[in-house]
Amino acid sequence: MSQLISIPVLLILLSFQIGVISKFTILNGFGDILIVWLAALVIFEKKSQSWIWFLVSILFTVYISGLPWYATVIGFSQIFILGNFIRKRLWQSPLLSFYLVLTIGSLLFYLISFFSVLTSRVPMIFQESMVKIIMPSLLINLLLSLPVYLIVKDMVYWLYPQEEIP
Amino acid sequence: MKKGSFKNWQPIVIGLAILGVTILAISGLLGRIIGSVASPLVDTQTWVSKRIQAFEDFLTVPRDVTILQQENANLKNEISQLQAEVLILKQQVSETEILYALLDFARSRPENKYIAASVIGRDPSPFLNYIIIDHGSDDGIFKGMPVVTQQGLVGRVDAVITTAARVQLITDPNSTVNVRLEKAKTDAQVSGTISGDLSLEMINLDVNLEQGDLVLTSGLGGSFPADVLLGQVLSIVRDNKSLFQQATIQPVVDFTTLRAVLVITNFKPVDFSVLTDN
Repeated sequence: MSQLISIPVLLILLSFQIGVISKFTILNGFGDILIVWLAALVIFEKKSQSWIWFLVSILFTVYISGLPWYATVIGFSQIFILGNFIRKRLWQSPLLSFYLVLTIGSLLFYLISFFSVLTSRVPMIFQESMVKIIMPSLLINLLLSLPVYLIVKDMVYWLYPQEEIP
Repeated sequence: MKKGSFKNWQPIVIGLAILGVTILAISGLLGRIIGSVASPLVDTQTWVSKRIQAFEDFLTVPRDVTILQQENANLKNEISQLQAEVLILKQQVSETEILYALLDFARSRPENKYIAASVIGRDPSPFLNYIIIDHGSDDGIFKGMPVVTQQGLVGRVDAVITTAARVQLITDPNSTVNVRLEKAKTDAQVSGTISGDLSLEMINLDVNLEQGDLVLTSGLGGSFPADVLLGQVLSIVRDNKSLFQQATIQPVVDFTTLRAVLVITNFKPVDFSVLTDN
């Protein structure tokens, strides 16, 4: 039942993303609060139920975004797999795990987005995309990371009080 | 005899006294006399009254401070409410100005039917230049409809749900618009780029392209109505080894501050999917 909260929380986050965060740009890139949120969640959520959050995020994003649906599915899924992989190996330092998941996950997500748009017969230059979109977006994600990390930590502690949050 | 004579004189004396007082009053001498008699009494009363007032103030001032503090808090509260109202009204004035501008544009082109919509968000992916508007199929908006502002072309409706629609901006890398150049009198294509700029392509090398030349939709292809302004030629790239010359367009619409748009509802885009599928 506690997973049901993912729907209103992700709706609020998505609304915040399309209404506010997408307006704050560096060059042509802007942050993605869903990626940051899910990267933090997959580190703290030890009941292996974070897949519901990922599933809801995929559904909402596919519904709203003009990005090809498979890009969103692959993009969020790789963060989930990467997050679980890193958490199991670096469980003693969640902050380091979080930043690893966020950096690698965001980078892969944007690369997947780039290639999905490229395969839609859109002429795009990789180097230009990297400089103008991918790296600035990654930087904004890192700027958003710490407050989101703390909020997710509190939220998981509130949802699952029996778990020890490092 | 003596007693009787005094009794006879008594009314006369009283009458003379009244007469005398009346004469003194008429002559103004009585006021001075009364004033000199009443003055000490008035002074005494004033002194007593001031002391009583001071004592009363001493008792009531703390209560007044409380009342004043309450009034001050109420007034501050009222000021905050009024400031909030002023902000709302300023926002409404700003929105009204935008709507008036859109209305002027709509009136200048009576052949088209428009639906005004507010921009409520942007696509979550930075690779796409899409906006989300607050009107959908319930309002008669369908896929492919052109979207404009009072300044010029914005894009076209890409996806619709009942209460909202997603609009592909002309700056999107996947967007192509057939245009004509007003001075050069030639057709070309405008494409979006990932940096959000507009690129003018497919112009023959023999065309004399000039900076500042107006770029308008040509109507070719049936995706957009003709003669809607896109922008002006900003910089020209001419390479004799290339087949075509290129140019950068300065769009007339500021896509970063887009708040309201008009969807042209009576324009039916031509569907080429049947031809391309075959």
